[in-house]
Amino acid sequence: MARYAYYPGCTLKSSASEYEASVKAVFNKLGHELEEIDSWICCGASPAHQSDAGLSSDLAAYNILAAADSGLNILAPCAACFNRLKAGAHKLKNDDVFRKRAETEFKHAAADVEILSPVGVLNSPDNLDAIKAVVADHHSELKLVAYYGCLLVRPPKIMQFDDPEDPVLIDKVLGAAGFTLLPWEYKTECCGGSLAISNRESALRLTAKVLNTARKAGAEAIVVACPLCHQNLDARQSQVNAAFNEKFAIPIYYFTELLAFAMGFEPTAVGIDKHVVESVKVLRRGA
Amino acid sequence: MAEAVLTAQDYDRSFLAEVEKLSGQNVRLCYVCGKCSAGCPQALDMPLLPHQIMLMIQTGWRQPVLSSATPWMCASCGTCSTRCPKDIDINAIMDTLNEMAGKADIDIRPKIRVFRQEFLSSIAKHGRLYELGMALKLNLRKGEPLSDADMGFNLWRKGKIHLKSPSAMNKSRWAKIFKRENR
Repeated sequence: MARYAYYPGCTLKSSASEYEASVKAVFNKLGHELEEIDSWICCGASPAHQSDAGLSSDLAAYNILAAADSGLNILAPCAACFNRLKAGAHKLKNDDVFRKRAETEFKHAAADVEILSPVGVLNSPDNLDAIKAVVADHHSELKLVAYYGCLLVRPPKIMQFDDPEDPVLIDKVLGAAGFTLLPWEYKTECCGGSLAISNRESALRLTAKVLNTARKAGAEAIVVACPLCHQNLDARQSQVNAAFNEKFAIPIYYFTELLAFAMGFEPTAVGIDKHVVESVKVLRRGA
Repeated sequence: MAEAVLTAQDYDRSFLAEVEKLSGQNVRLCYVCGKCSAGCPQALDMPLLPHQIMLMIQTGWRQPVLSSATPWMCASCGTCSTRCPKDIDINAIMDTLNEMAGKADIDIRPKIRVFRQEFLSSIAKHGRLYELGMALKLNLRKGEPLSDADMGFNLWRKGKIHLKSPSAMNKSRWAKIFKRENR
């Protein structure tokens, strides 16, 4: 039984609420506790570091120090938040001037808080065993590809997470839960998440390439671990279809939604019915 | 207007040092191998490629670099930084160029700049992103009232867009982050 300081980030409370619902379902089922950090604020995502590097670091430092009281490590499901918090933690550890200023400013000593992603945590030997036990004989014929995106794994110096060119952790944990993951070459190619609103043309072009390559690989659905990837691939799939004269109808699942399903949760209990692209029937069909 | 030719008077020797200091990167180590540009997903949309920008920084061509749309087109995917054989965080350099251009009030891609401003303005106010509020304000500023209305509607009918703004606790503790000098 493990406890984590839970950092949801902005989208998990709104446009990515399914991700929160499924993360909580899976972690609770495995007997772990998530304690939401009371006074968390936005990590700044891309707009902060793209216009003011200092602001981005300060936001991360604030959140890390806000969690330090709990004595727990931070669990951040959103790939962007995970990336920003890790960058902040890296700076707190290696930049003495920055750390002293943050400690004075936020009146808290910087503890050794680790920043974790559910993608990593659920792959621990204990959790994999527990998942296998809970899912028992679950097996799905649905052909999936795991799309990792950018921020979970890059830059490798900061993220030190899985392999930056050919990651495997999502494949591994879903394989343990009885899902069929196909190999493919587009695991970490950018979908244009940070460009979705500011430069939609570019984002749609990049997202279309992900959908197209998944289809080429024989996938019936794509698995993600990032709210921005999900929004581009799912909520903007109709925009992609319109822009490129396509008829994609590819469900996009958060990896924790699939785990929750394998563990016996109803799709509606973890928000799979809230996807824009129909995702419930497809999931049931493969089971 | 006649096409400008870059001459010796356009070389700004301080530019390289300034970019290196702000980004914390050793730009001078770059030997322009092109790996960054080869992996860049936005290369097709960039007037100057990443490796060209790197050489231009080394040469001291401040104005052409800061008035290029290239840093604004950057997707912040980090592929360049991951593959650079000299371990240079090129993504951080793109961030620095964006920051420098912003501070010099160079508005090459106003719609991109305005998005970032509205995002940060939303989190400065609420501590967390108020998606609906930001989208409405942004569309107004861009003069595109119905931009993404289709997607917004789809998300709203699935219950994933809140009408009410969020509110992070302890505003007195975090508000000062947004009020620093030069911010």
